[in-house]
Amino acid sequence: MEIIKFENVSYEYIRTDEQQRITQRFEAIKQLNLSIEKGEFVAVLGHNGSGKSTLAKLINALIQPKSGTVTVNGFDTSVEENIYKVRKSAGMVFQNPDNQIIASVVGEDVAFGPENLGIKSAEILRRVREALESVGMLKYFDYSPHNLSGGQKQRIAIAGVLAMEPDIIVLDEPTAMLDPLGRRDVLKTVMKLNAEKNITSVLITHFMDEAALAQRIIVMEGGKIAMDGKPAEVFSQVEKMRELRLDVPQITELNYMLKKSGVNMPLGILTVKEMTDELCRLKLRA
Amino acid sequence: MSIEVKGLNFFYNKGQVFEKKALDDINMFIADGEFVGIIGHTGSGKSTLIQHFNALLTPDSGAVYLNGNDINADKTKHAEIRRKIGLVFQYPEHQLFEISVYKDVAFGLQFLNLPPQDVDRRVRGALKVVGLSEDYFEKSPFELSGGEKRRAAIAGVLAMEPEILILDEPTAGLDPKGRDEILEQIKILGEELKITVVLVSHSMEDVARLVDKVFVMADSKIVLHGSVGEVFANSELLESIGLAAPQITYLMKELSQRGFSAKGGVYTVNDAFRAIKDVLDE
Ligand SMILES: Nc1ncnc2c1ncn2[C@@H]1O[C@H](COP(=O)(O)OP(=O)(O)O)[C@@H](O)[C@H]1O
Ligand SMILES: Nc1ncnc2c1ncn2[C@@H]1O[C@H](COP(=O)(O)OP(=O)(O)O)[C@@H](O)[C@H]1O
Ligand SMILES: [Mg+2]
Ligand SMILES: [Mg+2]
Repeated sequence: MEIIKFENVSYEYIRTDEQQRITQRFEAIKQLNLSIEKGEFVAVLGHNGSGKSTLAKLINALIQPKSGTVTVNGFDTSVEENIYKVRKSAGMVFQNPDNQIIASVVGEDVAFGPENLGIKSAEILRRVREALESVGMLKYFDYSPHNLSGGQKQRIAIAGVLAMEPDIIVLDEPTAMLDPLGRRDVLKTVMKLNAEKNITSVLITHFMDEAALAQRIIVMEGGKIAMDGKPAEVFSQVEKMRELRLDVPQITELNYMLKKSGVNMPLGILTVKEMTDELCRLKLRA
Repeated sequence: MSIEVKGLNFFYNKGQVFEKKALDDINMFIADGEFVGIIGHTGSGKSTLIQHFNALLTPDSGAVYLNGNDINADKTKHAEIRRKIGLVFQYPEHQLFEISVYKDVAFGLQFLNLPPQDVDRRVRGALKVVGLSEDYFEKSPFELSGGEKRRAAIAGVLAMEPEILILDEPTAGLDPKGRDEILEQIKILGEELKITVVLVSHSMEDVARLVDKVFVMADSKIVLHGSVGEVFANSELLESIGLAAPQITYLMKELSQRGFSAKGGVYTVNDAFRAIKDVLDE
């Protein structure tokens, strides 16, 4: 079942002057079509300004299309009455860990969303505990979030989304500000929620090694989808990725260089294991 | 210009309930013209340390020397020191405020009493280095994308023609091409002008590729330092403090375990390519 569907969607940012006259229009999403199945883990790549955050905001009904339709969990996001349901089914996590935490105690911060839904307190407590457990942060229930590392704060932000029991989680560069361990922990958390709870995950990132872990990669360019496929398919097109101001994981780059220099190996190698197998096989043959 | 740090200790909120020892007995030497990397987990003290290099923070004990001179011996010299030591803060885009990109980059120069043509030459030169063409000169900094703002902010520091350039995680949030472009330009600039460059980064891959020497921080201390090879050979130690070795290192390790004996000391894709080719061509 498709849980996110974009049909011919366009979106325009409009700038106005003091008299509310339009001074500038910018079409950030252009006639875009996309469907994402329930339970998919999709990475979204694209250079700065390619439209990734705009796409995320359209999924979450923070903005509505100028034309075309965005459907989330069966709800048209342009219909006023649906907005609340859409936001409940699609949670967002943003880049800056410090801007997302409001309360002075971790448990209260995670409870913030469900409290706003008017849920009973026993149920809220259950949800908060479960959410913190899922991101591996339950023991910080009574802590002040301010003393946590960036990676831990991001996992609290993810727990805040989980406490709403969403079907979809959209993460807009959640690891951009983190150190290597923080990045690893956030990625592990996203993958676990996707695998165990079947939460549809849309991960926007500039880290190619993170995108390699997804089931599918979408590459944005100029408000459109430029590439869409499995990581091995997308990353085997090294030159195309570079033209789009992107990159490929280090292993894939090495794979490409070896192949180009005449080594007889397939393209699209993503992991250390695949590469080692391939190289050992070549050496045996030699 | 060389930087030397001796027995430096620094506390935030000293003597208060929330006292935090952010730097613990730091000793380091960075030679004139060197390109060094500082890596370390969030909160390890990287930003605190580099703010001591241009006297924005003052040690509680110990000292910082630039070309052998204690920078805190005479506080009246701090303004001059800050002109010579260019510091690009983490998220420098928050510091853009002028009405145009050009004016923003020129901002620091007004205090130097330069002839107008020199100001213009420096501003254009700096914007060129960061890859912002003339189309951007009259734009408001607020109209720029995150990556473009970052470039403008870096240009503002470059225009001051510093003798030491310090960059605190300059590429966080930039797309891969933008990241590479800025880092390559900084590398070239450092070599051409023979200035000392200090790069704080979370990207082990960038550090492995670019720098001459690496300092590793954990919990307010320097726990390891040396050449790229000396530091990244310790992948277990790095992992235990929340870091990692460059991705390619794990391939080389796995290969050697499986009997594919390529040459050691490989930390970049280019070196891995050559090492593997050598084995395959044997
Ligand atoms: N609030 C806004 N007003 C005007 N233009 C905007 C606004 N937000 C984004 N844009 C423009 O829309 C384009 C796409 O932006 P965005 O979706 O944020 O890209 P990405 O997340 O891929 O970097 C960019 O060119 C950007 O400058
Ligand atoms: N202005 C401040 N007041 C109090 N504590 C601070 C301040 N700035 C940083 N710290 C603390 O000092 C330690 C080192 O911080 P910082 O130098 O920013 O680390 P890094 O740059 O490696 O992430 C951290 O524990 C941080 O919370
Ligand atoms: Mg964005
Ligand atoms: Mg810092």
